[in-house]
Amino acid sequence: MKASQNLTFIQRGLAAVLAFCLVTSPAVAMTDDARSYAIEAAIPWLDLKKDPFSLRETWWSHDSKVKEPKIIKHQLFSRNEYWFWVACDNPDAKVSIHVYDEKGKLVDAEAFEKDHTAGVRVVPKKTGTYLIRVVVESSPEKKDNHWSVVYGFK
Amino acid sequence: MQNKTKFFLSVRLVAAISVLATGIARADAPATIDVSNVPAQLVDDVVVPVPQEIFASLDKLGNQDWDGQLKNNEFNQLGKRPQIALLFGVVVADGFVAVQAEDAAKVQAIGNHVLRISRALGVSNSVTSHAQSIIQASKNNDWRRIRQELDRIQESVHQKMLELRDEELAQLMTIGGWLRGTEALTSILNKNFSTDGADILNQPDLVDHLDGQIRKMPLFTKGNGMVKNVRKGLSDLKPLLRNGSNGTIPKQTVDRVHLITSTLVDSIIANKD
Repeated sequence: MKASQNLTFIQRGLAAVLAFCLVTSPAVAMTDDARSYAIEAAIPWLDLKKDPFSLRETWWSHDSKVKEPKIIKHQLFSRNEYWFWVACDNPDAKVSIHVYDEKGKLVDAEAFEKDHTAGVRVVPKKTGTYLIRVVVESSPEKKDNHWSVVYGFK
Repeated sequence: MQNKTKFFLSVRLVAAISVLATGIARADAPATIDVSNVPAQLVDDVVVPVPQEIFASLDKLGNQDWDGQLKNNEFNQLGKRPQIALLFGVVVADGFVAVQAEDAAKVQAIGNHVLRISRALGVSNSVTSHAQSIIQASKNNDWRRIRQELDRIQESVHQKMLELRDEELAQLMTIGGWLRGTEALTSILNKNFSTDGADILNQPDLVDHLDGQIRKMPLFTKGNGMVKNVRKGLSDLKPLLRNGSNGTIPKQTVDRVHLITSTLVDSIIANKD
């Protein structure tokens, strides 16, 4: 019990340091809240203690209306494993993220939605272009819901 | 029958409790989407993968000769700004190769090259702390940290160039890095060809995007001799970096991609159009 508590404490410490480094790095000087929330959503899934995902420094940001799907085209490589995380800057919004192959077939390995964040894991069978579909499912704002997507790979 | 019903009710109950306990839910995603609608829904920004993403895929096929891919070069031929931006991308990508090879001395040298070239581009303020971190981390063989700092350098310089309204230089930096990464991986594939390995060259939209970036550049930049060469190279690469009708990329295509990318990288390093 004590060991697991210690582990949780260490994991939280690592997560806090990582979040601090990412959010305060010069590249992120012009960062937006949505990106910070997306990074926070990413931290529990980064597998920091064992075989960590590399979180990319670049990200996508966009505004969209409720229920208006937005697609990000992205190159993925077979044998790698990817996580994509999205967050809305409005804490009362709900958002979803899923990945499709170039023919439009769902390829999620797992996905979650939590508060104003969501994530999806993908293990592409083939190298190529994939379609990341982001939808603001609900929000007090009917338009201009700002969201950001970050991703990691290993 | 009653037991079966009870069992499914229990499963549903456990699932519902799990969702409530973690706060995590999942809405059903459509199993398919209509790809003909994609252009209207598309987000413009394209993120180009870092070389490490491609190298990681290749490494899962077995140990690779990363040592043999390192450049023995001082990267001291600095020409006009487009060439320097391309060279900067090449050097950062070379850093990723050095990390794959776990060559600390090479990584330190690259940290210093990055600093020097960033001064020529007027972006050294965005690079200094990362380059110093790379040099420090190389003393501790902290490869993960070095990869992270290389990615940060790219992003910091990219942001700084956008701030300075030098968007085309940021794009050329990305193109330089992609060319060097592709040169290294095709060199490895050439020596140890497999159709599984060659699969990582299936990048049709990415090469279209890079070519499109040059097409949209101002005349002043795209008229530069070096940029013209790169554009010609990308046009030649376009039909090659996609799976053939049988869904694979053959060895002769890998050879051709290597020849084009290595010729371009060498001309960028030597500053010869």
